[in-house]
Order: sequence, then C-alpha cells, then structure tokens
Amino acid sequence: MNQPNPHFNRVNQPPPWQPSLQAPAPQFAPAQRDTSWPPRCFDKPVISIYEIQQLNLPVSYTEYATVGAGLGSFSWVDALRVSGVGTANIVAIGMDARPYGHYNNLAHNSQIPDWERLRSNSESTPDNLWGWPGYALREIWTEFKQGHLGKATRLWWQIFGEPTLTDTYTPRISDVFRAVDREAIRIGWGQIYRYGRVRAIRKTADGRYVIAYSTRRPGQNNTGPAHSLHLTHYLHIAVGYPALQFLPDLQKYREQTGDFKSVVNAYENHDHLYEHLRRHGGLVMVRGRGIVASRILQRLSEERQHNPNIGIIHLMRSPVSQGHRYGKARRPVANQFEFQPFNWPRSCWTGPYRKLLEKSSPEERKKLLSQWGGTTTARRQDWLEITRRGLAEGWYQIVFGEVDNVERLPEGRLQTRIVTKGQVAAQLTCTAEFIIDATGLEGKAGSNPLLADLIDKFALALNPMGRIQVENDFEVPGMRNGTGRMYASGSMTLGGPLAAVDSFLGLQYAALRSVQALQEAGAFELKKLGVGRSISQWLKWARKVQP
Amino acid sequence: MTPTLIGRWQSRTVLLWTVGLVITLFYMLIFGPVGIGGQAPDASKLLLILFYVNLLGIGWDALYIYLQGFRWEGDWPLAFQFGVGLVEGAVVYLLFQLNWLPGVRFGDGDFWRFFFHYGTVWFWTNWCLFGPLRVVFPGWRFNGGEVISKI
Ligand SMILES: Cc1cc2nc3c(=O)[nH]c(=O)nc-3n(C[C@H](O)[C@H](O)[C@H](O)COP(=O)(O)OP(=O)(O)OC[C@H]3O[C@@H](n4cnc5c(N)ncnc54)[C@H](O)[C@@H]3O)c2cc1C
Repeated sequence: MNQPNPHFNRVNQPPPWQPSLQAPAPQFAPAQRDTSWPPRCFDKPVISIYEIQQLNLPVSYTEYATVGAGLGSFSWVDALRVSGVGTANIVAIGMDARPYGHYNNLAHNSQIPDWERLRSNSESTPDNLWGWPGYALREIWTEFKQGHLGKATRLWWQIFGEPTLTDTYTPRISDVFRAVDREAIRIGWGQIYRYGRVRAIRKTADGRYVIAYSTRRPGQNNTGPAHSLHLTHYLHIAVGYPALQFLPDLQKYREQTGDFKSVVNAYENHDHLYEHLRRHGGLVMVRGRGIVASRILQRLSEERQHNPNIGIIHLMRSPVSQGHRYGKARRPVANQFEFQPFNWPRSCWTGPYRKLLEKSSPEERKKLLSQWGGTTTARRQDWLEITRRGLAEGWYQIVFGEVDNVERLPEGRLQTRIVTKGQVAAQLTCTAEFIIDATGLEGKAGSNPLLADLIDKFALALNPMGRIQVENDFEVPGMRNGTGRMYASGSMTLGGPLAAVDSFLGLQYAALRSVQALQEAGAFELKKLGVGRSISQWLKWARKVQP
Repeated sequence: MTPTLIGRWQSRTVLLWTVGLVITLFYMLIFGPVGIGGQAPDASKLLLILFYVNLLGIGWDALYIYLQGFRWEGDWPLAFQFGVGLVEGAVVYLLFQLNWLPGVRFGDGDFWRFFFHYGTVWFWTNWCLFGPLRVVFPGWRFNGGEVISKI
C-alpha cells in the first residue's frame, strides 16, 4: 500500500488527450459578465468550453441536434430514430412545434386548402421512411372501406397510368399532415422538439458545436431565460426558404408607397384580395407562370362564380413555343405553360438523373439543373379547362412583356406600364385592382441571417446557384470539427448533388444518406439500417409502435 | 421508382430467383408429383423457363432503358411495367411452343401450365416491385431498383 508509484515523476510525457482539452490557464474572473447577444466570444469561429462556462447561460447537451425543426429536420430525426437513437439524445430546435407548420403557412397562402392536393407523388411520405404503403394505396384502402368502389378504382387506375395515361396522383394535404402527426407521436417528437430561434452556430474546441438560440416567443408571455446554448456532436440544419421573393419593380412599389394590400406575394396571406373581388369585382394582374400561378387562377375562377366581374391579366415575360429539351425528350407545352408533374423530372429523385447529377461537376450540375428545372406547372384537367374557358370567354388574357413601372393612381388602382417584346414591340398600360406576384420564394443562402453568419465566419463554399455547398452525403465540408460533423438539406443546398433536395422525398433521401454516413463513422447509438433492421422497423411503423 | 439499367437487371434477377422460384417449385410439385391437370413428368422444365424469362429479360431491359430516354420524366409508369410483362410472356411462350428454347420440349397441356406459372410469377413479382421491396431494401427506390447498393 505504501509502495511508491513507479510512474511517478515521469513528467515529460504528453498527456493522452488533445491539447485543446487541457484546462485553460487560470484567468481572473471577468469584471463584468458578458450579456451581449450573441455573446462576444461568438466573434470567433471556435470557442472553448471554458468560455462557454463563463457565460452564465443555460447549457444543454445532446449527441444529435437539428436546427429548423421543419420537414427536413423531421426526416432526419425519423431516420435517426429508426436507426436506433433514443429520444433523449436528439434535439430539434425551431420555431414551429409541428414539423409542417411553416410549410402549412406557405401552402395555405398559396391557395392549397385542406382538401386540395399538393405536388408530390404517392411515395413521398415524410411519415414513412420506406415510402410504402404510399398515400395512394392508403387512400384507396380508405375509400374501399367506406364502400366507394368507383373512387377506389379511379385512384387505382391513376397510380397505374400516371403520368402518361392519366393525371399524376398527388396526395391531399390534410392526409399528409395527419400522417406526419401520427409519425411524430410514434418517434417521440414532443420530447425532441424545443422552441428556439437560432442566432449563431460555432465550433467548440473539443470537436463539437454550440448553438446559441433565444427562447422568447413574439407576442407571448415569456418566462424563464431568454437565451440558451446547446452543445452537440452531430448537427443537421434545414431552415427552409429564408424569405419571400419579390420582383424588383413590385419591391420598389411597395417600398415607395407602403401599400402592402394591392401588391401581394402569393406566399403571404392575401385573403383580403379575394374578399374584395367577391364583393366588388375587378381586374387582377398575375405574374409568374408556375404551379402557384395555376392555383391562384383556380381560386380566382372560383371567385368568378360569385362575381362574374372578375378579370385576370396574366403577364408573362415571353411566349414559350417549345418546352425544354433534354437528350431525346422534350417537355410538353400548352397555353403558354410548361408541364411537368413535379418541379423536376421524376428520374431526378430515384433514377438515372439522380445518379448522373451526383457524379457531375458543379458546372455540369448547373447546366443539367437549368435543363431539367425552370418554371413549370402540373398538367391537371381542371386547370387546363380553366385556362381554355378563360381565354375563350375573354375574362383571362395573357400579355407578354417586361414591366417598366408600377404606379398607384389617385383613386387607388394600380397602373402598370409594360414594354412588349418580340416582333410587335409596343408600350401598354394596364390598370388593375391588384397585382399578385407568384414568382416564388427567395432561396439565396445569404438572405437568412443565420446562414449568412455561418458563411461569413467559416468561409463556407457556395455552389453555382449561390446556396451552401454540400458533399454527396450532404455534409457541409467547411464545418467538420474533429469527430463532429454538420449536415444540411432543403432549399439551402439546392444546386448540389440532388436536384430535388427541397421536396419531401429529397429531404428523406438526404436524411437517410447523412445518417448512413454517420453510422459508418461510428456515431453514437446508430445501427446499420440493413435488411433485418429495415423489416423489423417497418413492422413497428405498421403497428404504430415506438422505433 | 425510376429504374436504371443495372437496377432493372438486379431487381429482375433477384425477384425471379426468390419469389419466382418459390412459385415455380410450387407448380413443379402440383403439376408433377401431385398431378393436377394431367400428368406432366417433365414439370422441372418450368425451372428452365424461368431461366429463359430471366435471360431474355436482360435484353428487354436494355430496350426499355432506351425507350425511357424518350420520356421527359425519364420514368417508367406502372402500366408499362405490367404491360411489357405480358408481351415478354407472349414471346417466351412463342419460343417455347416452337421448341426454340434449348432443353425444353413443348407438350400437351403446356399452354395452361405456362399460363398459370408465368401468370402467377408475373403478378407477384410486379407486386413486389410496386411495394414490399422498398421495405426490405430501404435504398432500393433511391437507386433505380439496384438491390446491391448503399442508400
Ligand atoms: C408552397 C409550397 C409547396 C410545396 N409543396 C411541396 C409538395 O407538394 N411536395 C414536396 O415534396 N415538396 C413541396 N414543397 C417543398 C418542400 O418539401 C417544403 O418546402 C418543405 O417544407 C421543406 O422543408 P424544410 O425543412 O427544408 O423547410 P421548412 O419545412 O420550411 O422548415 C424550416 C424551418 O426552419 C425554421 N427556421 C428558419 N430559420 C430559423 C432559425 N434561425 N432558428 C430556428 N428555426 C429557424 C423555420 O421557421 C421553419 O419552421 C413545397 C414548398 C412550398 C413553399
């Protein structure tokens, strides 16, 4: 017992841990605590644990964390849970308790009510990692149980013949939400989700990440600490679209006049417009020719049933006489709309195009994406009929040209000066009650302050489309931190290895792919999703049992 | 799922020699020893027919991939999948009846035996393509039907 330790005094050996883990040299306690937000130490890209301790902020830790807590985060968490990670080891930080909260707002504003069908196929199932049974089969079963045999047969024929012999099947938005709710309960989303607006993310000196987030909810009685920190080893981020996109002339108009009622974006709430039109009638100018424009036209044509004095001018930049070409194929066109069931050709999700894009260089990717993408809408018999009828009866007219100026007339109407293009160059003025900008959402990474800060602090590379560059397994290369890794998915990575990364199925693929990479790297608790595990987990899904 | 050529070959081969094999063995039993629908002592030729369906399919798949290139979506609708299965069956049957398939001789009552055997294999393998294969191999649907693939 009293024998001397033979290793005593062998002082010149380096300790068996990383130097960064050594206790920092003793410092004097700061005269004043840092109460700035985000804390001053966040000025640096890498922060030590000691500095974090000095902040006097609540700090929590989980092995896995995802920022955004939308559908992209949900798919990632689902893949983790199915691959064996427990709820206590995952956190999802975001501003909507329901994973589809943000999506629902955008969808609702852009005229997809509960009973409408969205724009993805039967096997794009955020609630089911396997995509089977898809929404079509579930809907057929429901109809069949209710004795609606005709409807069940029609649906059956639809998934059988789509997209060539029939319109493409798409699920009802309310069915998708119900299914996601069910899966959220099954995987314990309630324990995983945490409210927070993430302000900044930094690397820690010990190979992890620290997330600084505020917990104050706008317009609510807030108690408890306003700011918190969360430490994590494996991080995922999917913050969706940063902002609404406005055409420059409309943006200018709104800034100059402060009029947010007559010029609206299709993705913001604009119900007042339909109410006004129903009561008083009037002319609406629609800009953009994608699926949202189709939905707006549908809504306006429905309003015409209440008030036939509603007219629509559809302003398009130039005519499309031919659809995009790729290889031996060409995209169909009718009534100035290019048709495609989803925003990319199907093969981009699961087939040869996905593989081709993955192995292409960034420049080739850009070229392929411009060939496959562009503004398209879905071919739906009801929409074709609306445009056909509108054009024939004259309450819907298409004008080609660029906007020179938008002005507000003294009586409140909007006057747009249009320069037409092509062989008949002329100037037109069009006076309308409302203008709806249906040209889309802003996707550039820099428009989200959190992403702008990350790009700035870590000099992250951008892809040719101005979004954050990711590896084929969706890891953000500049964020690797020892054994810590950060992954990203959704619109913030568009232009990378997966064309359809901003879609239910694309998010799911990104989730599975990154979780697989983590599993191969030996991440905590993760098990390989091989044949045995896949089948047993699917059976649990089918029985609504926890993973 | 939008198939690649390798994916088509792998899915076809795997399904024929799992689901297809079980069905074939079943029919070999009931046509042979059990003797339903008249005696067919050479019922083992069903196994060879399965082999020829697979062999010819390798060629068919190359044709389908070529045709897929003309489709903007680059896809292959379910109706096509089921439809071409019938064409493939008719071609194999023709070769069978003309005795052009080495090792198998067409005999009395073979039309019905072929009809049931091929029909069942066609039905069930397509069903697996449509659904359950996704459960067994979670990466299958993202890789154009490749069974041996990572996610
Ligand atoms: C109108 C519309 C219709 C669509 N229809 C379909 C469809 O039919 N089929 C299909 O497959 N795809 C569709 N998509 C595309 C895509 O599937 C959805 O947009 C999907 O919601 C994207 O998921 P996400 O997680 O990337 O983003 P979101 O679901 O939008 O989630 C991102 C979340 O991050 C939060 N967030 C942002 N910044 C911060 C921060 N600093 N701190 C904390 N949280 C933050 C946001 O509040 C949001 O809740 C559609 C998109 C839109 C806009």
